[in-house]
Order: sequence, then structure tokens, then C-alpha cells
Amino acid sequence: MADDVASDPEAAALPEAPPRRRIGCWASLVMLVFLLGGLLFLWLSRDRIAGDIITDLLDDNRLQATYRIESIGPRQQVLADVVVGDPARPDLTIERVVVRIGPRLGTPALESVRLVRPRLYGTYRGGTLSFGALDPLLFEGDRKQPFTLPDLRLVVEDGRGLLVGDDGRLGFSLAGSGWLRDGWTGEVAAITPQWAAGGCAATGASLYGRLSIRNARPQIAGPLRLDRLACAGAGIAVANVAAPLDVTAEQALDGFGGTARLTSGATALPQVTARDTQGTLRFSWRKDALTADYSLTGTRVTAAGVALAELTLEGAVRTRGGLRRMELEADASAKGIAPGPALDRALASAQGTTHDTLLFPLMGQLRRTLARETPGSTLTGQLIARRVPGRKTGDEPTLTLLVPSATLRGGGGATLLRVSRVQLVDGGGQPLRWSGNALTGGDLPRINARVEQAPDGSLELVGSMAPWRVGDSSLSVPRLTLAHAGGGSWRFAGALQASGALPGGSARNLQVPLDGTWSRRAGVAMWRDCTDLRFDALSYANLSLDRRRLTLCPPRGGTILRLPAGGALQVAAGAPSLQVTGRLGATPVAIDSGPVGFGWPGTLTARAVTVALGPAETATRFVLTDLTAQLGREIGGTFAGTDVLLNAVPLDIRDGAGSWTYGGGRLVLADGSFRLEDRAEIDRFNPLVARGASLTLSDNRITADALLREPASDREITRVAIAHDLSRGIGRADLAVDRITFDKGLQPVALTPLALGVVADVAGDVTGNGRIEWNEVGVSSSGAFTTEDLDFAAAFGPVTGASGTIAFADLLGLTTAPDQVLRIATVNPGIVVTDGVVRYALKNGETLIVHGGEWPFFGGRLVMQPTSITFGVPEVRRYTFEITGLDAARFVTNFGMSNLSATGTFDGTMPIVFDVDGNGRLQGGLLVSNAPGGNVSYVGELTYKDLSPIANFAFDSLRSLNYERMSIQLDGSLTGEIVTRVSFDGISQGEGASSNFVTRKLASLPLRFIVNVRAPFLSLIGSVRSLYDPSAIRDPRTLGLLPTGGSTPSIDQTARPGAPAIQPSESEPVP
Amino acid sequence: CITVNAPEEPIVIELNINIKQEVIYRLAADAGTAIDQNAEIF
Amino acid sequence: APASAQRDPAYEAARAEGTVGERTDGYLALTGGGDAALRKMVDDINIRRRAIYARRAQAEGATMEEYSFTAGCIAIGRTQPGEKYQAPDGSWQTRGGGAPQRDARCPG
Repeated sequence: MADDVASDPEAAALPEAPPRRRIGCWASLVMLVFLLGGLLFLWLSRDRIAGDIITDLLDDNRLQATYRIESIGPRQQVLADVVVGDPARPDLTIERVVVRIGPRLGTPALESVRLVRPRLYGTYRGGTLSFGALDPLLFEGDRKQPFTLPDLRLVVEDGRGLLVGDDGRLGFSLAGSGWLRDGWTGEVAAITPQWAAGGCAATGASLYGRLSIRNARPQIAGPLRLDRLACAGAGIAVANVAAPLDVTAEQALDGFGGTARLTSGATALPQVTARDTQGTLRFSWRKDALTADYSLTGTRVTAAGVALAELTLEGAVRTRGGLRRMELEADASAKGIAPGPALDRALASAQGTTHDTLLFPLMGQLRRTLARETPGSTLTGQLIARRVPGRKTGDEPTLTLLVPSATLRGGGGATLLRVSRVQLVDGGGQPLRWSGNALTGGDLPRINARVEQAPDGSLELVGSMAPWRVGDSSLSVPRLTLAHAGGGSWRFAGALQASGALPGGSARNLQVPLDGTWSRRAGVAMWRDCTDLRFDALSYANLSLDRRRLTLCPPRGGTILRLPAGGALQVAAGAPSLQVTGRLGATPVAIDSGPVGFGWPGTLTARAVTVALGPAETATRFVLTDLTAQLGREIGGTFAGTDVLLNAVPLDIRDGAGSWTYGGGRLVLADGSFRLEDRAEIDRFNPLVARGASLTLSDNRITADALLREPASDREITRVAIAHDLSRGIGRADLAVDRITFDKGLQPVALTPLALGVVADVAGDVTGNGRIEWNEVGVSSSGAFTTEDLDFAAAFGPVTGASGTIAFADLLGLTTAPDQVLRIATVNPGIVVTDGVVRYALKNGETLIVHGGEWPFFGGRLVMQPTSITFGVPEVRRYTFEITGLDAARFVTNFGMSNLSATGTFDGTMPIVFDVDGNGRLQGGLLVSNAPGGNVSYVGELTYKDLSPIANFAFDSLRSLNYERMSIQLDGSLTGEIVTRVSFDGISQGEGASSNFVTRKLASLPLRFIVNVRAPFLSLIGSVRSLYDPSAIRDPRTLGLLPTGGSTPSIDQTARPGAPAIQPSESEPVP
Repeated sequence: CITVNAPEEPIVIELNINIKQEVIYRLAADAGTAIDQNAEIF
Repeated sequence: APASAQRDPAYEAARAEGTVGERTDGYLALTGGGDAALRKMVDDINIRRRAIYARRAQAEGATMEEYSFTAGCIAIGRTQPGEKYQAPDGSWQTRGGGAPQRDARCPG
């Protein structure tokens, strides 16, 4: 861009049109008027006096004048009461005119003129000066040769004049004498209460001066005073001006020069005010051109809002063509620059809005620097102003302001601001154009800015700011362009790098491109499309993110950042995906999210988010399908579809949902609902659900508690309290089972599939507790569960009244400690056995190892030998029961056989084999009576008569039979038919048996009496009872089995061939 | 009088009582109602 | 409500498909292969039937075998067409329209 103004074409000669607007220099005007007045007198006296020179003169110049000739002598003529112009309103009256003719060779020449009390009246309207009738004389005279002063002596006594202006009157007086060409001295005074000309109004103006003419060059010296000068158009207002002048005019009066000292009171210029000014001026006005140099100092100056203790301008002014073409140069220097309260107030309010951000300390330092540097600060600089008239008349003049360089130096001496090559062009038919460089320094942020003027007139600022560092806050703007985009809005683009505090967090080396618009009306709107964001570290509360490059996109059609004028900051952005790593407090965290959208203040929503907390290898992973958060002082929101995969424990939390808040370093999940699942391939337990669960994460520890329920019945199963140390991956879970009630509504199979086919129809309560502990090595779990009265159906038959505690050494593995004890009120494998005590152990929930079982058995004990059962596998299971001390009497009475009694105790073994279908068979069961044997007797009626004689004999002998030894062999199905071979040895007739000859004879016979009873073990008793208890048999007809009146079907009795015989013992029968 | 000399071998009297009677008829009604009341497993 | 309405759907399906059948001894059994889950379901049903037979047999003074045999007769009698049941000779039969083959001792 051309540095300085293109040299404009030489202005064409301009017609003599009086300037439309005269700038300043009315002082020269007054002098001009005054000189003309003086010139008039001289002009009058130059013609020779002889006769009516004057009348010739008057006639020559078509002056209409009346006068009275007082005396006309050869050397002196005196006129009196000279009146020129309209007598009613004369333009000029002179009381006495004394003209003296000097004897000169040849033609007499005027020697001197004395004017006594001349009165001159003129008007200055609309910029034209007119003395009425005198105008032709004064203004139309021939103009060929330059104006020269007449060569005579002039004495003016009490000369006075009045000039009437547009709206002001100017009175002036003149007295003095002397040789006009050289040596004239006199006093001149001009007073006007109010005078307006050329757009300016002067009030209370006066000029007293000594007028002297030396070498034909008039000179005035004396003070010019003005109460007030105001040029409204130009915005100039100066009060009580005192300016001692010393002005000398050229011989041809076509120019003047001189010096003036100026002091003024309150002075106001456009954008500039001063309490008072004083200075010196040296100027000369020649051929319509003014050259002056000045030195002006104002005190307590305010310029463009900046308060300066003192401003000094020294330079030169050159104008040509009157004031149309002007060039002003000034060396400015100011002291005591105080930017005024407005700037500091603005900075303070700006700083107010930047609380807890990195800008706060920076702005603080800026204000401190300004406050420190301002007192005693100095400004020095050059200023060049040019005013070039437009090419064609009526064109706007072009004003060019040029500041080659200006330097603001702080009180401490450091250069705060250096401005260079500033150029402002206004007018000339083109919009305001300006450009320039600025560079700040010292402790201020080092800004280097260059203002450019784009050819299309739009303004563009290109700048940069070096890193501005205060403490750990730093801001740098490597590149910034600011372009005026019309309509009062500006576009800016560039790059920004910042470190330090951000609202609620901090950033280190955050690099952000700048791209947005600013306008006074709409405020700032930044990042209209996807923007790459880069940072070395970014932290919010105590979530700190590692180095990362992120791409953030604005909402459709909007911008990411908006700061409406006077409104609050709004940020809204989204990212198609987000992968960040960092630390949450001391816990490493890795976040991998799908689409994220957030607005500040406002909400954050994220989809498909995976958060891994803790060191990578033992991290707890949260998988969320949906996360929303309210961003504010306290962040909170809801989460849904969340899976939590604790690395150490084979349990997974699925479908978690609830609300969460994060603040003060604590993450709190509340009213959480989730499903707890066994992570093993084959689930050892079915999923449980929880509601109202809560989890807290703070300084690296997760604590959670929940009440787990069985989904279908919604019954409380267990309370669980979890504590997990994320950094070490160590934790534990305490399970508390207050009460599980099994009934129709809830069966064990609902809790664990392992129970299917093992136990069913469970009824009763179970309480207990458990603990799972894990560390980097592995998981251990234990637990103890107790029941007081549990009924259930098992493969070997229904059990009632089971009680006891089962202690698990490995709860999750469903492996108990060895030697667990279970008391069983009754079990019915086919035969009801009561009050059993079973000692067992469970392995992996699959294998039941029975250490042994013991039942009281009819006065004796039934002891089960150790065995093991594998659930879920169809296998043949062998149990061997040992019976000791079976009391026959108890056995019989227990079965309600009131009319049968037996005595003696028996020992024996009962090997039972349960087949694949769970049917138990007695194989090789043997009961042998203990010495000394016992008695069996039948006390009831024997009703069946049609038995064979031997049968009759057998039953007769049964009536009462003493035996020394009885052995009972049992074979057959527990649930069905058991073949019993009862053999007696050493039998003798007991009392009560009907003894007849035969029986007595036989009594001594070694009789082994073997009764094979092939009957269901139970029905053996039942049928025996039916033998003697008809009510036990119901009439088949009532059962609808037979057509009424049919005959009863025959009951076939089939003997079981080949039952093993028992070898008789060798003992001698005891009679 | 009749002397019965005692045989060296004990006299084995085997009485096989095989009792399987019309219990089934007796139980039919009860089994019927048991099945009705536990329909979900029959 | 009809028995099938209360049955577990898997059990109902197994009966309909004939993978399980009513045995003469009153218990349910796999008619052919059947996976572990089906076997576990059959076990579960049989455990619960056994518990009923044990209780009812004791109450009626009969053996569990007699009771379960009687229940078997009735259960086979109530099989729906297409369901499987065990004939007296032990073979698996598919219930047709007419009466099933049952043990002579079965009542009515």
C-alpha cells in the first residue's frame, strides 16, 4: 500500500471566488480591514491639492462626498466635515483633513496629511467586505502593479471605524503619525463584543497594538484577546485567548508574517479538550499560502478519552490556496498519560466476567501494569495531516492523517506502545481508509498488529500476540486477522494458544483455531464449522485428560461458541466420536464414546460410551448406551443401558440405569437399577435384579450397596455391599441374606439352575451371609447359610424339617467346607425315617459327598456309610445302611400293629441301590437278632380259615414263639415289594401259644421256621393289618371298579420261586 | 402215641405270602385327585 | 383349567413332540435322546411326582410303587392324541384316538 499520500495533481488555478469557509486567521482579516482604512486616507491625500483636487479625486472615483473646505493655502489645505457616501448613512466622515503639500521639484507632492477624528463605516456580510461608496475606490482600482504605500506623512488623530458583520459589530480605532513608507508609528485598537465569520463566532474580542511601518511594511505588535472563540462546525471552542501578536505585512500587502504567543483557557477541539493552552506561533501568509510553525502546549488534556497531564505539539503548518490545501506536521509529546477512569472501568468489568479463567490473572496484570506505568508515562510521536481539495469543485476535500511513529513510554521507562506508519484517509469521495502498525511492549502483552485497508475499502487487521504469561496462566495468539464484514460486524480468524484456569477446570497448551464474527449488536459467534482442538492437558473438576486432538462440530446451522452482547457465554458442540484418556482423581480413566453432544450451560448427551476406570489390565469397564448430564456447578444426569464389568469378579452388572451426580471429586450413582449376571459360561446362578442401588466413586475407591431380588417373585434375596480399590484392584463384597422364603412363589431353581432335577418343592426359610474377596491374584469367596425347618423333595424322596448350617469354603464355586451337618426330621425314600443327621460336603455344586448319616431306628441306630452322589448325572447310587440295636418291639408298635408283639434287638446291614430312575432296591439286606433272642407273639384273632394245615400250624406257633436267634433277609424294592425271609432258630413255645400235644412235642424239635413274606414292605404291615382289620380294605365296588353285583376278582398269589434258604444255625434249640 | 423223630434238618416251613391285592383299585380315586391337584407336573 | 394350561411350556412342548412319555410306573421318561436340559426337567417333574406318591402312599397305607402304578394308569389314560405312553410290554406307543393299551390291573 503506498506509504504516503499519492501526490495529488497540482490544483488548477482557481477563480478568485472568495473562499467559502475561512478557517481561523480572522486576526489577519481585522488587520486587513484596518490597513485598507489607512490606505484609503493615504490614497485620498496622494493627489495634488490645487483647487479641488479632492473633488477631482472624488469624481474620478465616482465618490459621492460632501465636505467643507476650511482653508486652502499654498502648502496646506484643510477640509472639514468630509462625508463620503450616503449622507444619511455615511460610509466615511472626517472632521478635519489637513493636507500639506511639500515643495518638491517639479510637481508639488503631498507631504503630509492629518486626519482629525475620521469615522469609517463598513459592512462585512456574507463574507464580503464593503465600505459602501468607497468600494470602487478600494476594490476596483487597477491591479496591474503590486500595491505600494503612498510616499507621504500621515497623522491620524482619533481615527475610528465601525464594521457591521453578519451578527456582530467591530469597532476599531487608529492614531499615529509618521512617514508612511517608513517610520510610521501609531496605536491601533479593534474591539468587538461578538463577531461571527466563516462559521466561527468570537465574543469579547479585542486587539490593541502598536502599528508601525518600516520600509513600507506595516507591522502590528500587541495583544489580541478573545473571551471566547467557537467554531461550531469545526467543533472548536477556546476561552479567554490572549495572544500578543507581532505581525508584519508585505509591502504590497499581499502577504504578512509574524509571530504570536498564545495562551488560552479551556480549549476544546474535536476529541481533544485542554484546561489551558499556551504556545508560540510563527507564521507567514504569502500568495494565499500560509506557512507557520508552532509550539503549543496544553495542560490537563483529554484526547479520545485519554487524560494527559500535558501535551505539547511542535511543528509546522503549510497551506496553499487559502486554507484549501493544508499540510500540518507535528512532533507530539505528552506527559502524565492517564487512560482515564473509563478505560480502567472497562478493563475492570471485563476482568470481572473472566472469574476463575486464565484471563483473570492476565487482565489483573494488565491493569496493574497500566496503573504502575501510567503516572509519569510519556508519549512521543510524529503526526502529519494533509488536506487536499477535491479534483472538481464541490468535491469533498481529502483529509489524510499520517503518524510515521509514536511511542508511549511508561513511567518506568519501558516502551508500552509503538505505533508506526499509521495512515488515515478520509473524504475524496471514498470511505474512510486507514492502516498502520502497532506494537506493545514492556510488561504489557506484546501485541503486534497491522491494520490494512483492503482495496474494496473493507478494513482488515492482521496481528499476533506473543505468549503473555502471568504465573501459570498464559495466552498467545500466533495469528489473528480481523476483517470488517460490513453492517458493523467483523469477521476474525486465526489461532489461539492458552494455558491456565478455565471455568471449573484448567488447560495446558490448549490450541484452538479462531474463526467467527463479532458485532456490537450480536456479540461474538465463533466456530461455524468443525474445528480441531488440541491440548496437552485439559482438566475439569478432577477429571484430567491427556494430550489429545479432538474434532468438535457445531449444531446444524449454528456456531460452537456464542457470547451475545451482554449475555452469558453459551457453548454447544458435538463430536461424532470421542476417544480420550486421562485420570479421574488418581484413577486412570479411558473414555471411548460414540456421538457426543454438549451445551454449556446445558446438557451433555453421549451414546455408546465405554469408560474404563483403573489401570488398563485391571480396569473396571462401564459400558453405557446412553448418558445425559446437566452441566453446571454440579454435573449430574442419568445413564441407561450400562454394563459394568468388574475385572476381578466373575459377576457382571447389566442394563444399569439411574441418575448420577459428580462434584467435589465424588461420583455418586443413585437409585440405580441393574441386573447381576454370572459371567461363567454355564451360569451357576440366575440373574438377580436390583433397584435403588447406589454407588460412590471418590479418591480411587468404589463403594456400592444394593438389594438383589429374584426377578420373577421380586423377593429380596440378599443385600450386597461392595468396596473396591481401583488403583490396586483389591476389593470385597459382603452378602447378607436376611431371609429367603422358599414356597410356591419362589423355588431354588429360580435362583440357580443347578437345583433343577436335584431338589424341588422346597418350602422354608434360609438365612445367612457370604463374602467375596478379590485381589490381583484371584477371587475367594465364603459363606454360611442356615435353615431351621426346610422341606424339599429330593431324588431319594421327600425330606421334611431339614435344619442346619451349610458353610461354603468357596461360595461361588459352590464347594462347602468338609463335614457339613444337616439334621433331617423325616425322609421318605419309601420308608419314613426320622430325626436323621447327615454329614456331607458339596463339591462344585455337582458332587454331594456323604460322610455319613445316622437315624434313630426303632430303638437302635441306622447308620449310612459314606457315599457320593453326582447331581445331574443319571447314575446308580449305592447306599449301605447299618442297623444296630433295632428293638423289635418298638418296630412293631411303631407300625401300629396292636395285636402283634415282638421282643429282641437286631443288628444288620441294609445295602440299598437306587437305580437311574431313583427307585431304591434293598439288595442283601440282613437283620440278625442278638443273643439271647426274643419272642414273637400274635395276640389278635386269626380270621382266615382256609389256610393249609401247615399254615395253620405256622400261625398257631406264631401266636407266641420264643426264639434264640432270628434272622431276617430282606430283598426287593423299597417303593415296592420286598421279599422277607424270616428264620427262627431255637424256637420254643412261648406262653400264650396254644400248646397241644403236637406243639409240646415239637417244642423240643430243632424247628427253623421260615416265613417268606413277599409283600411290599409297607403293605406287609398294612396287609397283615388287613388280615385282622377289615376296615383297611375297601369294597372294590365302592371304588367303581366292578359293575355292581359282580363277583370279587380272584387274587392270585404267586409264590416267588427259589428264595434263598438260610442255613440253620448249629446252636442247640433251647426249649 | 405218635413219635415224631426230630429230623436232623430243621423243618423248613416256607410260607410265601404274596400280597398284592386290589390295593390299586383302592388307590385309583386318590391318585386321580392327586393328579388333578398337581396338574402342572402330570 | 385344562392340565396343559398350567404346564411349563417346555414340558407341554416335549409332551406334544413326544420326546417324553408317561411310563406305566407313574413317572415321566425320555422316549428317545433329549438333551441335558430335558433330562433335568424330567428329573424335576419326577422328583415332585415321587414326593406326592410318597406322601399319598403313606397316607393310604400303600406302597409308593402301588400308588405310582395307579397314577401311571390314570396318567396314561389321560394322554392326548399324539402324546407318547408306555404299553404293558414296555414299548413306547403314540396315543391315538381310541383307548390306550394299559395293564390289565389298571382300573376302569
